[in-house]
Amino acid sequence: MRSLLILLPLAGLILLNLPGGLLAGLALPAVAALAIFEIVLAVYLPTAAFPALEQVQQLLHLSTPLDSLARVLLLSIGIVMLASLLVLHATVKAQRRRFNVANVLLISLMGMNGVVLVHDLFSLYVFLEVTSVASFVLIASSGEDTGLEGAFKYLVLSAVATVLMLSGVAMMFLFAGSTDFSAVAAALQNNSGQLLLKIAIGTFGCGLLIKGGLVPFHGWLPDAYQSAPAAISVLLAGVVTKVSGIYALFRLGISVVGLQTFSPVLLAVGALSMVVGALLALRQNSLKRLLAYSSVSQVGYIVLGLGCAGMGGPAGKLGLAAAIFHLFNHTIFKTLLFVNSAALEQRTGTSDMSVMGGLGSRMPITSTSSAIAALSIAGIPPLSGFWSKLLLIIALWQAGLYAYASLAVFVSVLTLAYMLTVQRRVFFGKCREDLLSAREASGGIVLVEAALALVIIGVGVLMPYVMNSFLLPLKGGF
Amino acid sequence: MSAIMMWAPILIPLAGGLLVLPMRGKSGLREIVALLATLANLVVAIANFNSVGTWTGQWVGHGLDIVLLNYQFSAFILAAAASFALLVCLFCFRFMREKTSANQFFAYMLISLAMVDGAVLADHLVTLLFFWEGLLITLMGMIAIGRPGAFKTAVKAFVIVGISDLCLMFGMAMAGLASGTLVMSKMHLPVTDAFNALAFVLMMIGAIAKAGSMPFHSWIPDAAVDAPLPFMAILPASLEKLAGIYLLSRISLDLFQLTPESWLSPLLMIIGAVTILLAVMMALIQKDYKKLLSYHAISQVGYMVLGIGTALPVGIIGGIFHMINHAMYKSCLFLTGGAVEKQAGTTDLAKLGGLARKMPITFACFFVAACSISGVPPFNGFFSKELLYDAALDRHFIFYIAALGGSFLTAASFLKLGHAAYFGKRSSEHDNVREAPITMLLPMLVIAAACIFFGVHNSWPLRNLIQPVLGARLEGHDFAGWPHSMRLVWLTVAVLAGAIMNHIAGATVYGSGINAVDHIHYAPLLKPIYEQAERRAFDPYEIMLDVAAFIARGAWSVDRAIDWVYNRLAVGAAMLGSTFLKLLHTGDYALYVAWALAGAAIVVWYMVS
Amino acid sequence: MNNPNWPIFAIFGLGVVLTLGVGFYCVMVTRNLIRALIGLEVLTKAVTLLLVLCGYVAGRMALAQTLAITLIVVEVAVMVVAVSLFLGIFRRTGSIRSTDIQNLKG
Repeated sequence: MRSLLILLPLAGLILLNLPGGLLAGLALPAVAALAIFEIVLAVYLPTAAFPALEQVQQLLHLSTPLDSLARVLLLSIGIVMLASLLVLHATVKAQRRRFNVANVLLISLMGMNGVVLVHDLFSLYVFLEVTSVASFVLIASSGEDTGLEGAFKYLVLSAVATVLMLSGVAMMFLFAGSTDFSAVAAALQNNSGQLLLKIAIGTFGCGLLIKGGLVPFHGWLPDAYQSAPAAISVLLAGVVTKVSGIYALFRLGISVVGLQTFSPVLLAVGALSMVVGALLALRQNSLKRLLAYSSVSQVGYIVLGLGCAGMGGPAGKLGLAAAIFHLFNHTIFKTLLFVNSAALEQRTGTSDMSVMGGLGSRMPITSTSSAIAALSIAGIPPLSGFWSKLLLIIALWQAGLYAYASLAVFVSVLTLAYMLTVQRRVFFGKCREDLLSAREASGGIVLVEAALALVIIGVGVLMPYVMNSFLLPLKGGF
Repeated sequence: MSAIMMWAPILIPLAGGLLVLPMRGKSGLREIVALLATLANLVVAIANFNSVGTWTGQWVGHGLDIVLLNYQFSAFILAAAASFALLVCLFCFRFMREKTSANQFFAYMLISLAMVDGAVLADHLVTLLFFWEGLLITLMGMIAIGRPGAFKTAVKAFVIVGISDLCLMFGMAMAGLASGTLVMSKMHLPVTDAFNALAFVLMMIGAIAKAGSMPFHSWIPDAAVDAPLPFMAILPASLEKLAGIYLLSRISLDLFQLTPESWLSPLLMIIGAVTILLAVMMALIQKDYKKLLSYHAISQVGYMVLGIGTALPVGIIGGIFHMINHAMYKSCLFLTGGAVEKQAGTTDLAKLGGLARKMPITFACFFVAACSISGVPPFNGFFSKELLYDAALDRHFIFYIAALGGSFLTAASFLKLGHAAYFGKRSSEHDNVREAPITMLLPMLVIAAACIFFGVHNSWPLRNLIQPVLGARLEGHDFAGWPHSMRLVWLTVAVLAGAIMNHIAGATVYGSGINAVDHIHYAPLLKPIYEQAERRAFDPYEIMLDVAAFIARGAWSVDRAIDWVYNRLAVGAAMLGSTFLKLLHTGDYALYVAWALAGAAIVVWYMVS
Repeated sequence: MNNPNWPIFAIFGLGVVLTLGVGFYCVMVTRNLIRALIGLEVLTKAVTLLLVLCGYVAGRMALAQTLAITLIVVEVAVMVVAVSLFLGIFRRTGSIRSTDIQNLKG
């Protein structure tokens, strides 16, 4: 079943590009259908096995069962892909470009699914590259100067990440004789203390940190997010960074290396990202750049949770659960925020906040959902962000990492500050004269905004249910 | 007793109030519903009269339950409250007809009745507190719908009664802690140690403040002017006294064992005596019908507190009897004031005059009620006051002097009021004043008749309603019939005669009824005190507001300092950091690669070492 | 260490490290975008060499070959995209200097 997640996009690619353009019109719906299929699969993973698919799964090394982390990510990928599609539909009207973007989205989807599903290091690398290449093309798809610039910088840093990762893989391969997760894990167990292996873990980890956009490896991220077209920013911020960088880190930590070895690194990098990201977000004029730095900051939280998980014990388990929960929450609210910026761009033609003002009365749904996302990201009860941040801080405190816990609280305040600045500059107050003609965004975007806002509120308010059915199994699952 | 019958006195008026609330406009439906609700309440109260029952319901656990108890005392209070509510409701038919907020008034009145019924029936401290506090909201509401500008008085009432409720809450917590239970009928604490005594004092404050004793009284005269008049007749005059003195009695008799030896008894008596005198002195100089009556309401509470404070059977019986008597004659007095206001258009004594001929029935009721409040035999006030004199004298003659002096001044002020409003020259503006309509007269007549009945045939209320409250503590006394000490009776009569003579003298000297007591008003020592009092210099509420404003100014300066630290330091630092970091991001990918490599180097170095 | 060929491996490894160094230096120092891409290519080749070396030392040449070929293919794809991005930049701005693509900053 799981292999379908990779095979179906591939099949879709082939079918869509049949000569004669027979099925070309089905591009967007096809992607949408796949995204929905993915969501459904993530939630209701069926256990039935199909023999033919079994073979393919063996080939792709997908035979190990899915764990909850992978399912969370599959769900996120499905949701964000759907959101991105709706934004694409609303913002890009040219058929040709839509078709092209849809195709590349299929490649991206395939790549991300692959990253989530594989069980060996090299396949991980391959699918990461597939995703990255698709991202480069997508960022540049608008054809603007800035898009090309952003894509180029992303490419350069991604290549550096590749080099670092592969150096690590090679050295691990040296000791393990294979790149499979379990083989490498065994080799690391047997040969712990080897210099080369330590270097290998370090470089592989750094490669992933570059992909994830953590400080000081984040140079490409603001430029890429800012310059990408609206729909692609949504996709990038929502899942690409997370899947490539953060999920891979989780995998590395959980299944291969063991989190204890590099948890101090994760803690330090996480804390640094939180602070630097939040500080930089304070004085941005471009909404998308601000949201990009906000992503850096929030991913810092996630990595901080992961680092806490490496400290072991019940606090560690809580930290891991909190990190995964925050991963999901951040996907939702960052996607929502970027969809809002897409709505603003659609109606005002810019994402420069200094020329915006008082749009709350003109764009009520955008304004409200933005407020909800802002409150959630700042950690205001009873929204979802509050719970994940609270769990994280509790886990840090219980693990004895008091300084990090206090830092997390302090950065929450900064987060609230810059998000409120956004709200004030863009939505509150009297409407500017030149913006009086702005209307609410088009239907598809509004639908996404409303749905995501409801998810934020729902997860927040229904927290006890979420806790029982979602988090506690995660805690126990590792 | 079934649960329905226990809850009916609370639920019926509550339902009535909620039904009436949306009925705006001139419909008669609202009045019918209110009347039916109060009538049904009275029927239920009478039906419950002789049965004893309890009802317990779990609420949040941990001993916080809802417990109701219906026994002689509470049944009696319920019936009394129901009767007053019915009569005032009848009165309001015509009185509130032109007022726009009549629907709110009826609603608040009915809900207040429900709350009072609940408070009286409550046997658990938390249940009591719930209903007690519920009265706060309706109190505020009823005042706020009066004259424009009444909201300030409503807030004042809310704050004063709210603070006393807070004391009640603390007292309840302490009492519950000391006795280990929150069920009132199970508590019987001695007041010998300081903790219990403090609990008693706090709960006592809650009770007497609701009744309107000093120093929690200052909202009542303001409300008399600002609120609609039937509010005065139903709440401060009757319901609040009933509830307040009921609670005070329960505190002294059941929850705590108040004995004459304890220091709390003189405390209560002093509060009572001071209230009597100070309030009646303020009443004396008033030139407005309603304000004068309101000060008397405060003063009469002093008698009740004094009586219960004596902790002697005769005093307690006297206090409770005085409570029901006062409810009767004070509400009758307020209703006459309402009739005057409606028919003559004003309650300013300077403008009124000669109404006795134009409104004879009103005058007759006024006469009966005024004689009752002054303690003229054979009306009901006389008998309850005699019991109180007896008790006061038993404790210490100074309290007796205070009570007697209060009676003198009470009589004097009512002579003044009667003279100014009903006798004397008619003002030409009021030539066409007619008698009040029947729906307003009927309640007054019923209450006046009851005053006479409770006086002449006082064995009925004493033996059936009030003496069973004390039960065994009565020690076999029976206070029905004529007071046993004729000496006290002669002293009372002498005082009344003195008051009459004083009035005649004053009226002759100063020329009119209204100025009859000017010799007291402008007496050398009293004149400046009166002037200050009129300017609210002694009003505890005003003093408290001044203190609060002073503290607020100080707090604001501290806040400014904290604000500066936050604004300059914290925000400035964050902005500085942000600008610096922004400068670092030059847009050059090579720099970013350098950062990444440097970071990787550091990580690897860390991993290796 | 017990393999008699270890000096060769050491030299090989040193060569890999040197190549990596050259590649990084090239990427970081040059102002010419084409040269930066060439630098990236050099880096990729260095890593391929490392992979081959490790495969040989581990005795898994077949797997190492597979990995190396896959790697080359993937990097070709990346390079194609890179050069097309470069072409786009060149056509847009007429310049191949890295200083001319510093519009996004702060």
